[in-house]
Amino acid sequence: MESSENSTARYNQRLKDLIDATSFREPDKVPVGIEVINWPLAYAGVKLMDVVDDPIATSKAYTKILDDIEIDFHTLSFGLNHSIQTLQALGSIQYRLAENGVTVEHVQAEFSFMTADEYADVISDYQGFRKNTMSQRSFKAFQGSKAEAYDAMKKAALALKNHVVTNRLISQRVAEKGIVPVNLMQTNNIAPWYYGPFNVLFDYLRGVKDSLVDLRRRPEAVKAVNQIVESFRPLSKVSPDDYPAISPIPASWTFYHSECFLNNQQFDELFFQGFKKHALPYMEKGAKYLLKGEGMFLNTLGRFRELPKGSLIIELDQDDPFDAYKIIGDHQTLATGIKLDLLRSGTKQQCIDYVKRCFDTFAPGGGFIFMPQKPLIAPGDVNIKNLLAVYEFANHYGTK
Amino acid sequence: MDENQEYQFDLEELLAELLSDESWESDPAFREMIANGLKATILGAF
Repeated sequence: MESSENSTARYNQRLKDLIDATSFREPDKVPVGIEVINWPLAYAGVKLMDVVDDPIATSKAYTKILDDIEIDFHTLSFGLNHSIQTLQALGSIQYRLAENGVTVEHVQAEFSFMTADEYADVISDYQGFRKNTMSQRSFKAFQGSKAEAYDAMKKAALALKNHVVTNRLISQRVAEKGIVPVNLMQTNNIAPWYYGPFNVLFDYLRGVKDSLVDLRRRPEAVKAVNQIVESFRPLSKVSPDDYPAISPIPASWTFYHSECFLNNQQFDELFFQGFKKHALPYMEKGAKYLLKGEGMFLNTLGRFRELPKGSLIIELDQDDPFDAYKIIGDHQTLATGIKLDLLRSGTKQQCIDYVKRCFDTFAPGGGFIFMPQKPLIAPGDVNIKNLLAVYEFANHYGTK
Repeated sequence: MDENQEYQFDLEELLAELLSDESWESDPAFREMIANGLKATILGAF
């Protein structure tokens, strides 16, 4: 176990490197990070259901990867994302454990989303529709008697306690290692996160396919729901005048879900205008945001020149990082370095050559932090030998 | 409630009961945290 002095010293050095790199100053070491969901369990060779009842065993398996590769930071949360036992207790229709025994899958295709006729119900009682109508559709436990529903709620709560304890143990291990979270999901001390309002229709109410169709066929209904969603946006816990309360990292965050499917005009209307209005007052006071990208979105990157230099850390997904760099790499930080398909199927030398090219291109002058270009979620996402070799190389090559 | 009457599902009512039920967690602060987490699980985080 690391001493607390060592942990603190390493954390502080890594924090300094992250702030330098994302502020376009060359760090002492280019920060090396990772984003994972349940993949660390697969790395440790365990299935979720084999350990999930035991927080100590789960956290020990989950954090084994930290003993084998050096990581300076992680994005999003480092821990189990969904409590599978909570979802099972409630009879979730959308989430299930994948056949690989590790990944919790989101299966929109089997769910009955709201129909086009129900827009009027959403507009007249948005909260009631989500709390009651959609919850009842989403969970079998809510489709019977009140006693059955309450019994399921208690079982779900007990499972969630276990899940919370597990993630606390994982967080303790991450802290002992001096690893920096680049963003925090919920806290009082950072600028408020931003979730594009159209994503409520996209993710929760209408689903991927129908919400995108509605943009063409029912634009007024979509606009009305977006306005209602905005009206329920939680109040910020810290005002721009009071920011920064603490360091700009851990940062706040936003992410793309529907955004990569939108044309430029839709992107401006449904994401960028709102995000800029929301985040710019904080960015002007020094705040940074992590943009967790999903899909291909090179067409959106030029907009971020309208935001202060170094205010955004862009986590790429499917796009070519060298193309992204030409568009925005001198103004906002890129979190990139290698694609999962190369890590999975390339040779060790091909992987290292690619990573070297990324460091040589993106690192001079700052504005680059290294991480694979997708979260690791399932067994087989990467060739472990390649992963270990790439992290060893990145940690060495990026150090002055 | 009449047992034959169809139950009108009310999430807030169930959560309020869960919040005051010490049988599954004695610490009120942890109970509230878990109840809020359960609400987010059911409704979605956003």
